[in-house]
Amino acid sequence: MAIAVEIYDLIKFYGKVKALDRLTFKVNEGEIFGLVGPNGAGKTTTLRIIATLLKPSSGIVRVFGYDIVEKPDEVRKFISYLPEEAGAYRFLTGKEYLEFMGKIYNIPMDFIEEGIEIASLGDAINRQIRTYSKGMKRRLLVARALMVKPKLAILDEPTSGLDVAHALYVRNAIRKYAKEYSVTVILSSHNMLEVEYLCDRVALINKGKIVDIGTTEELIGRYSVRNLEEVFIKAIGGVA
Amino acid sequence: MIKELVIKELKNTLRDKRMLLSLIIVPLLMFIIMGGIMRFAMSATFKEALEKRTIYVVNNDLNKYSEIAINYIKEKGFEVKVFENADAKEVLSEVEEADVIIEFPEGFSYNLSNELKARILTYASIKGLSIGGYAVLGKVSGLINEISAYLSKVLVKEVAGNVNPEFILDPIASEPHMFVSGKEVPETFIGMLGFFSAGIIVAPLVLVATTIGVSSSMIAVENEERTLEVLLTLPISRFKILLSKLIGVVILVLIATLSFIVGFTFYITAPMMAFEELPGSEGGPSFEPSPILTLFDIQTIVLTGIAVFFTLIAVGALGLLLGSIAPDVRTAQTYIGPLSFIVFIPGMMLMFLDLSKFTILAQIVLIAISPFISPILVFKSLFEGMPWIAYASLTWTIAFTLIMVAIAAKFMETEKILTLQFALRMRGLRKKAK
Repeated sequence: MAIAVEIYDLIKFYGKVKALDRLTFKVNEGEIFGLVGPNGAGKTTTLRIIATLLKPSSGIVRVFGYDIVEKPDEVRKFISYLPEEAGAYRFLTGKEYLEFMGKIYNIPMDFIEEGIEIASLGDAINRQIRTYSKGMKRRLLVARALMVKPKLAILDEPTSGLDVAHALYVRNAIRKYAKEYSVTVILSSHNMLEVEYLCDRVALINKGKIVDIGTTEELIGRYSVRNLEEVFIKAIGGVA
Repeated sequence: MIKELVIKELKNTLRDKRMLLSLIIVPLLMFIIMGGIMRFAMSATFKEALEKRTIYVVNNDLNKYSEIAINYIKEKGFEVKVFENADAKEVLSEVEEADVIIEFPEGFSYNLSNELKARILTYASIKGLSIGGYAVLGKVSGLINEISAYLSKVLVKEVAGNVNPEFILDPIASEPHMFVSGKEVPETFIGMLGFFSAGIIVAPLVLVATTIGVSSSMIAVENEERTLEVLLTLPISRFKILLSKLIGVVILVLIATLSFIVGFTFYITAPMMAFEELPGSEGGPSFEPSPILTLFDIQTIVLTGIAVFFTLIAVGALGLLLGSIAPDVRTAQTYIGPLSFIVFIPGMMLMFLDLSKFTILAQIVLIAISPFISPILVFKSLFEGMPWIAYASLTWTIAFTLIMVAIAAKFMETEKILTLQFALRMRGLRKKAK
């Protein structure tokens, strides 16, 4: 199986603080890979490094064979990144925003139409984004990330701020796009149900280190517990 | 792709009411409204001052020359109300409509007959602080000058007999010749040149201040709205992102400057327009900047244009750098505040002083900061015959621009664009904690 993301011995310092400590894992092409961990564990830093926003202090990160430090422009051609607290240009309409992104990625018009469908904003798609609720904005941003059908979608808490119905809708969209268009997805989430539902494999991350890695079933079996939530608690040695 | 990014910048900025207000509407409307009010007020004032109003005269002379003067006022078309042997102060306080009184004191005619200076007293009651009140005083003062000139002619004729009193009183005809940059210009050009000189200083200052404001806001708003992270991961080079922002800044600044120039021109020409509106006015000195431009050689105009371009880019890149370390637009504005001093203090000095008045050291300092004031410095030094300052300023400005763009491009390539503001915030917090 081809490798989409390879990370070896990744270390990241913020000043004197070690945010990532010898992180090593691989993500297979077409896989939905979950990063699970408490706040400050290093999930967002890992995703930002893969997305070429931050540079590793040491270690190697490759996306489809391209080193993110040496060939960031090449890497950006394959990826679509959704930050946890992302915003969108307030004074563009939802449609204008998707069209703008479509032109940057040079995708055909029907992809943008799909984006409008994923966002499921109805007539509000023609309203300026500043009038959107947090949930509406999030759906638009998820639509933006998926409609370009990237080789690698990097989604940081994709359903953050969404109500139950819309979170389910977005999860289904992620799953559909990953399977139909062979989009590799690497996502982080606090929601264990979401991770169980979506991810082919999961990495448990704590204090900048990978604690364990495997499919949901493997992890549940390995820790002899009932669900991923209990795996997580057991793996990090209880609630801090 | 740059085109798409520029369009996005323009749409997102021009639809923002805050930006629209500060960039276009305020400079345009503020000056137009102020100019309109000034024009209306001045026009009304002039009209009131020129009205053939009633002149209140206290005649305590009751003799030949005061009678001649009063008849002269009547001949000028004024209605004259004469109080004989009265106290002017009492008349002023008792007659409600009398705001200005002219008094011919006792001995007025005697003095003139005996080649002694004669006095005309005026009494004014100021009932408000408007310009209108003072304009009336000015009009009365003008009338007294006219009376004086008329009585001079009467006296000359009486003394010299059959001569032309106008020739005796004013035998010299002045014929000035004005040269600007070696070219002869009509005398009226000098007044216009004053306006132009002020404009050539004020417009670039506004241009630079607006550019820093717009460019820093343009990147700070990406931080504020949390759109920067996505932007930086798009399949487009960071240099193109920088370039599109700079192009966006230049377009917005040019729109803002145009709006400023339209508003400012309306404002500074308001007094002339008010004057021209008066009935029977032959028109005051009209403001036509285009003939002024013909006074400057093509080299001055081209080099000033180049200076404007590079200054915009340099200041735009600096604004983008400052904006990128600000978490929001408001913080970005506080960062750029101190920069105004570098621009406005020398700018104002250049408005009032010729470059030759600066010491060599001061001239070097001006060149050192010239990336912020280059259009003014280049134009002024070429005009004042000190081209070495223009060349030095332009060379340094171009070098500074390239350095700023390179730094901005390098900065955007690094992760500092995302982490520096956080690091600065943490440093601030640590300092506070200590």
